Amino acid sequence: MTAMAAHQLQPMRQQQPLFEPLDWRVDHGQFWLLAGANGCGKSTLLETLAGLHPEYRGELHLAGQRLHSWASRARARQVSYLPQHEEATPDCRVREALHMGAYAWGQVDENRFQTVVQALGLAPLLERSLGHLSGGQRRAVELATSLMQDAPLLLLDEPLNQFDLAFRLRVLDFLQRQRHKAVVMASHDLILTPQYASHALLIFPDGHARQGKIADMMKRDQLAALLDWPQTDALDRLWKN
Amino acid sequence: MSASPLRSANRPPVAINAPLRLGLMLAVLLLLLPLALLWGEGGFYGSLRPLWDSQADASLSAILWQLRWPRLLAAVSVGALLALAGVVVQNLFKNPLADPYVLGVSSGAALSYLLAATFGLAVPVLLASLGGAVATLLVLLLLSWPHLRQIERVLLNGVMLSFGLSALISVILVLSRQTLTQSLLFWLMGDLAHSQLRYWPVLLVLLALAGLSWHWRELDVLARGNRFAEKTGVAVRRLNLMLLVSAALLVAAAVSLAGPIGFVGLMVPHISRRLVGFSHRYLLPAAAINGAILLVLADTLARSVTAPVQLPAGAITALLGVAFFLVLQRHGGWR
Repeated sequence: MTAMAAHQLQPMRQQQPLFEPLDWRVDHGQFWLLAGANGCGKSTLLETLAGLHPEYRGELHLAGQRLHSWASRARARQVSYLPQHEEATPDCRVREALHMGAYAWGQVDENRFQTVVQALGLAPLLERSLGHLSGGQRRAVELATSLMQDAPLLLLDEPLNQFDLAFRLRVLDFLQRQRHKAVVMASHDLILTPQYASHALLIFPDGHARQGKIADMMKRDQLAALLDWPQTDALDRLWKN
Repeated sequence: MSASPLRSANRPPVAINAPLRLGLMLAVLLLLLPLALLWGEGGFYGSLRPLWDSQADASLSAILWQLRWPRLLAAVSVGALLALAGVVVQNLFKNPLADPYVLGVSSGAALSYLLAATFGLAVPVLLASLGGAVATLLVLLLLSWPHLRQIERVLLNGVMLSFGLSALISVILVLSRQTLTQSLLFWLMGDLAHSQLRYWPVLLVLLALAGLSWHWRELDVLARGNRFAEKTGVAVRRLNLMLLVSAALLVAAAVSLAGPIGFVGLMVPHISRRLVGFSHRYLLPAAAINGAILLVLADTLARSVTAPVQLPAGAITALLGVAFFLVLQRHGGWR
């Protein structure tokens, strides 16, 4: 089933389109890697899909219905979004923060809560206050909060940045197992994430986008163009073909 | 327990029992009421008897129920109203330094009261200041209407409005007759002596508390940021508008009853947060109770310590509150 469909979509910043018009469909069960150089518009694209960035051209449908015809609460049940940086938070406890993620559902699903807490290993932190967490721990709580929202479309903006390798694998593994959900993850990680993602959308420096199955996207030439990096031995070692 | 990649500190976290603490606060307030009633110029009246036996001391009984009781009710409700408004305003503006007076509503109330008094209009204080407050609210809403999502701009509008109105107040104070200036100044520092409304303000407090508590989940989510709230499913624009209007009305009511008493709206939310934690489920009632306690204490001292000279309740409130907050700061709160 289609979670999100974009037709000739162009997010705008200061009346300027960020990239060429984009036709894109994300289905449930797919795990998309969204990649491109800094400033190419990944974050704005995710923000637009989440309904938080109203300046765009083209059409955008969420679960078959125009994005801006959704009421806030109903939309939050369809799409969950983790921005690259959350706003500074007041000092609440981790448990309270997680419960807030489920606001759109009215009450907290205890099963979901246990699943998320276990998946991210948050159990020892539940009664601590956010202000006393390390940067990585806090990011884990933010990620868990957006997972608590339990929407069929999950938009994650560089969720792995602050984590160590083991925790990255843990998160990727959990996301891969969400088979009934559609996941879109913006990331600069072209090593680990492609092992888990099913599809990729690449935004090139010239504003063109290319999309497809992950295996077809992770090609040496293509990635060299994406990163605007001459083909070197290093690239050859990372991506064989 | 399975190993977790996210290590916790060795010290186990202390969970606070917010309902228990709320109960204790309420008990303190209820105990305080009869004590405050019986506390007069000469200190504490030795017996509780006059509270229920009007024959025991007829003149005291009259003082108790005609003078002190309405004043006590005013202190309870003004304290609670200001504290609730403070919680709302700090949530709305995500700013720990915000107090209910940043909306400019209190300055508007003060200005229109001063104008009425200066020109000798026979308008009751309550109506004069309420009118000014509501007028200011309307101006603020007109200025802020397009920016309800960017709430910082509403804050700026409010602060500017407040400064402008305060400037006008100073001008009027300087130009008005000396005797009038004296009483106006006293009112500006907070004066609970004149409220005769008794139970109506208390009813307003209960309504406000119930109305805001109904939205405690939204308030919790909103406190974490407008964008967080928006993505989590809160209709931020509508909620901001509702909070702005209700905070302004609460302040308008409080200022109309007792003049612009400072400190309560700023510090009582902070004190209450330290005592019951972050969630508005407990924060709202805690703030209302603590605001009431603080103002009852302050006003009782204000009217008795240097009797027959009355001190401004607002000044005592600030002194007591600062002392309490510093102690709390030092000896830890809920964390």
